[in-house]
Amino acid sequence: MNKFLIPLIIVLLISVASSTSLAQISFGTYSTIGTNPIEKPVFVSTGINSTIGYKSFIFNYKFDLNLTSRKTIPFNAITTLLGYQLQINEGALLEPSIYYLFKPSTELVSEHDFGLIVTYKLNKWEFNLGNNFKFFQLKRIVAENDDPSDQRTISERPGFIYKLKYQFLKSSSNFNFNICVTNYDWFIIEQEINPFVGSNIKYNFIDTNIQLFGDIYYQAAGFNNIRVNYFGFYIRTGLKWTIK
Amino acid sequence: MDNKIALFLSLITIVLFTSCDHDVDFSGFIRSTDRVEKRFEQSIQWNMNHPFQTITTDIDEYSILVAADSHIGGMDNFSSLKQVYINNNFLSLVLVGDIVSGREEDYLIYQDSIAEITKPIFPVVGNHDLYFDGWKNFYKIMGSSTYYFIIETPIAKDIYICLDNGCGTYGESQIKWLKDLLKSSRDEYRYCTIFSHVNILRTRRTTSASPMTEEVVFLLDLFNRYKINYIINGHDHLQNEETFGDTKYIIVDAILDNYDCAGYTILNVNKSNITHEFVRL
Repeated sequence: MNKFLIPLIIVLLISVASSTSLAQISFGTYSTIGTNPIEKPVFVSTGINSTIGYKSFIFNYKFDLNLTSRKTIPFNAITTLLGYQLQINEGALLEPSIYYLFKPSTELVSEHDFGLIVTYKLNKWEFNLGNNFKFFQLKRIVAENDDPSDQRTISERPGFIYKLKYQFLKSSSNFNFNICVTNYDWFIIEQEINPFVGSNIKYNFIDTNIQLFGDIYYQAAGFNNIRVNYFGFYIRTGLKWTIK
Repeated sequence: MDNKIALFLSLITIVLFTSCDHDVDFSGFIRSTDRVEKRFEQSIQWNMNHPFQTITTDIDEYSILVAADSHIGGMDNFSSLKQVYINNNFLSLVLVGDIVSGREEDYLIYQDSIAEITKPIFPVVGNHDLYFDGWKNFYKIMGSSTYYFIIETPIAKDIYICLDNGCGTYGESQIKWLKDLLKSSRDEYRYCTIFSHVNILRTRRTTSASPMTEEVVFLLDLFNRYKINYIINGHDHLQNEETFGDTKYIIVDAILDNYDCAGYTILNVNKSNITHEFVRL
């Protein structure tokens, strides 16, 4: 656990220390509850989501701590993203980014994802398109019983990630909600043929820099086999504080 | 601008829907009527009345024939496979899903076709078997979609587990069943092989849907934990072979008619190891 806590604390300290000199920093905390055939009856996690902005650059990181399986997998995931924002015309923003996701998903197997993503934001629509390189890795804990010649990593073929989001009200509204279809979220990157749908509601408290948000996602399996079965869902809620 | 985007997305949707194969049942696109949990429940009911089979052999070495994606209607390649099985010394034939198109008449063709075979056949359900309300016929003609069989040699017993992931997920109850089975019984068997239709790994580009990543990771862990020797899938139609830890993951060639790469797979088992051999027709 310490090996995860130390980098977490360092990043937090850097974030706080740099907040006075940088143009913008947002710090959020959230909790997720969900269910699927693997995480029964429910999984609960909590974590932080922070973004540091400097000129047109943004750096985002998220840590997710597992509350329901904390004895076996206390640390659920970390994801980081580095992007550059380009204002291409009035109301349109283009943001190319690179990202990395690490999930020590089970006791024996961890998942790594990385790639490029381009976000194109209009007033109500948002398009995200990118690529994804995913590989699974056998952890060292089983090494003592295993043949050292065993293949310990396996890569999936490169895939696409996408998100199509529609926001019902203007971005300047205090209250807003959107719907999206996607194959990825903060700590989930699915194959492109396994899309899931989600919705997000957010409310900016008047005269503060604090935002309350809630997300819900519904996951189904077998879309491209045309035998869609329910897989799971999750709800996430949290607060975001922006310092300008 | 918003209207143009909405129009563009509508056009893409129309093109996607109208360009698909006629042999596909679109009733399952949003939410299919056959549910993996219901199929598992019915399969367990079936298993209670039809005990798992044990095949006994008096020699230490044996072979099993494996084929997938025959998509009956067409019978040319399936007839060839049948002759291979009948005329050789294979202990069993495992059909790893998409055995038929899902239509009732194709289930009846399959039923007639296998009537002359006296050796055991173990079917695994695939997504096409479920099309056109196909589960009802699968259950009536073939029975359970979640079960295992054992091959007992003079020196050891091997277990072969057949699972249902025809809709792209194994479902909670079946995963629990598998986990409990491996926990309680894996040590009793020398080799363990698991068959299911939809390929778990996607190491090359395909358009078919694999299980969700969370399920894949869980299964990779489970298969390594219990030293599963082989995971055998179909669905992707083209042979593939990967190793992760102690477990080999293979996808077998489709045996459907008019397919250039049509073939089957032989599992060879002996005292020291279990190996596979891809054979093209």
